[in-house]
Amino acid sequence: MDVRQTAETKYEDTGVVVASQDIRESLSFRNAGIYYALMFIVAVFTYWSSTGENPIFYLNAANVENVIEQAATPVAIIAIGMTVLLISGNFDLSVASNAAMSAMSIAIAVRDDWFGFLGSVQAEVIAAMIFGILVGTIGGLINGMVHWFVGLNSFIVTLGSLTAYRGLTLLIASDASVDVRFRDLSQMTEEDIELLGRETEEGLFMGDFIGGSLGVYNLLLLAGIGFLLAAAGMYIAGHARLPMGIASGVGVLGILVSFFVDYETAISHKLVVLVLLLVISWAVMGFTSYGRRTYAVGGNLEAAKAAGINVALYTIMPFVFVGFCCGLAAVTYIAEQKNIEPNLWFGRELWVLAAAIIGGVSLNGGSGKVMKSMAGALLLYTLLNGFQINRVPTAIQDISIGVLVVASAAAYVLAERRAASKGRI
Amino acid sequence: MQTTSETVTLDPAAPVLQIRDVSKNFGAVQALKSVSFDITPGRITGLVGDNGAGKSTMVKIISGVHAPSSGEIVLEGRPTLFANPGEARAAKIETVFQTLELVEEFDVAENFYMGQELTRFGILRANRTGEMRAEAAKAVSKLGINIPGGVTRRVRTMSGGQRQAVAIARAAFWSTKVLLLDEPTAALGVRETAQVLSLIETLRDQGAAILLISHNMKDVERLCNDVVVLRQGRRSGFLTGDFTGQDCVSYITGAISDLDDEEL
Repeated sequence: MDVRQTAETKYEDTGVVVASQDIRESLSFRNAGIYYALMFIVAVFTYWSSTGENPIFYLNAANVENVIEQAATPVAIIAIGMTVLLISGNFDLSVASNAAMSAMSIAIAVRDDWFGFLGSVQAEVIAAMIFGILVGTIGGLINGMVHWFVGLNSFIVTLGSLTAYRGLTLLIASDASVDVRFRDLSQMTEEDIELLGRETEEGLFMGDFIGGSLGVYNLLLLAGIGFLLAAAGMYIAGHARLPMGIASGVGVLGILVSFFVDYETAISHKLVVLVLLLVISWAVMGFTSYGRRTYAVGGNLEAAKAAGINVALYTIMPFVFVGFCCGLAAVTYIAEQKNIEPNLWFGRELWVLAAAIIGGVSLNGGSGKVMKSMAGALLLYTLLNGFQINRVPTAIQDISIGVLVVASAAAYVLAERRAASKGRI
Repeated sequence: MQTTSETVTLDPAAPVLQIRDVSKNFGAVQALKSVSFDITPGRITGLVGDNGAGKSTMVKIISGVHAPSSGEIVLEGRPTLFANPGEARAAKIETVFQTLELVEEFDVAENFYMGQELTRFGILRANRTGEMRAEAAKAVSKLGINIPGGVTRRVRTMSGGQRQAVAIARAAFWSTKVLLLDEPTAALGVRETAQVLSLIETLRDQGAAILLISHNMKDVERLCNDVVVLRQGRRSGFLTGDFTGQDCVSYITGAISDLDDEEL
């Protein structure tokens, strides 16, 4: 069969059948349950917060942005990488240590003026950011190489690097917190102060350049435009019509409503990084052969090998990507901090995994969606935020989240089993 | 691997693949000793033998997993050497191994195109999902395979027979020259076996050149036009025309042998 010859064939007869299946599939509880759960919890908190002694509108723009920002660093950003890695059939316990190591590397590079030779402060800032992302990426690469070339289970490899990367962080920091400061006040020149654009009492910090916001925007308008762009992307990729229709419908609705509702808030750089990372990962995993092959390697390594897929590449690259996400999380964090503690994000890898599990990623590999993991991370932080607003005791918060992780995993297993018994997957 | 760009027109009865005096040593163990046979379009050639007779080694040599120690593989009249399975695949030789090489989480179309996706936008490699589904659907219906739910049905939800049919259809889809089937019915029930056997017959009638490795002499008797019997790494018999499963068994056990110096 000559593929090139038949490639022009239009896809009509089977299209209708596929579309109607997609409707049932993509709206089913099994597929969209995480989104329903997120909406439900938001609805509960909106009601709850409006009935207390100091009633507030929970879903106000500032709080929405706040929840997304809290979720973003480091959990949501790393959860995106973790999802890709879990899809490829592996596991990374070292993410929190790796991200802390990246953050600490940036802090030390800045404090000790490693990139001073570049001349300008802007170049130093960019160099320090690239350096931090590089450290995280190399951390991931080491995990991937040891896993693939030594043939060790990734759980064991990253259990080791979890401790080792934390140890390295402590070592380079000499066990103390490190200021992310280029110059203290006494070293600052006229130029520096001019560059900063304001007076300072502490000196010149990394975050003075990469922190802050992009300005005030209407969240609904941005989200609406985002949904429309996503629909356009799906159209170009020749994706099924229903998700495309839903995305464009939501997009148009968002834009229309945004004209009547004042829903403005400051958009941080962190949010932009998160959204870009999410959209790119979603597009690559869902609409390209790179994504298909990652799913194939995680779904059945032998089959992928037999199909001629470069399984070494598709096993190691997800580790590298997780490491890259760790570096990215470190950079977005440093934008808001004046110093880095060596025990930064201690134990936070479990939150990352919890977000992925709530989002329905299978630990066996071969299935999962970055969008759903993102929803999982948002769900976690919506809960935390809602609990805090409504003054729920910490103990009850922890218990609730623990139960949630297990319950959501159980829900996926049960829904899958039920669908299988009805022969309807 | 040697390839040429010109197209070769072949007499349909001429063998597409010739195995000539192929031997294979693994250290001191000689797995194959000077085995020869042909694989011809529109015919099913059986490869039978007891466990350890060298069948799997032969399949792995043809599919590019192992290189022969000596002898040659002649594809369409040209001696060929496959350095890896990818080269055999590129030469349009496909293998269905005993362990089904399908991804359970993938649907039929995704399994068909795994590793060979149709994409657009160059290095962005955006999937042409619609075309892949349409092509897979065409290939499946051409073989008369009925999969309820069509090519977007996930393999995980299918029966063993359906999975085997998908695996064979996928191999047939890519193999325009030779199709190797390694124990295609070993794990199947009676009804599913019948379905897979008739699928193999359909493929033969559509002109595929098939090498069938099987332990099941009923299947061999029903399907194969020729049978090559391996015994202790050597070709101990060749049956063609009218033969029964019992004949094969006699050769396999060594009760009959074409070899002069058969050591029993």
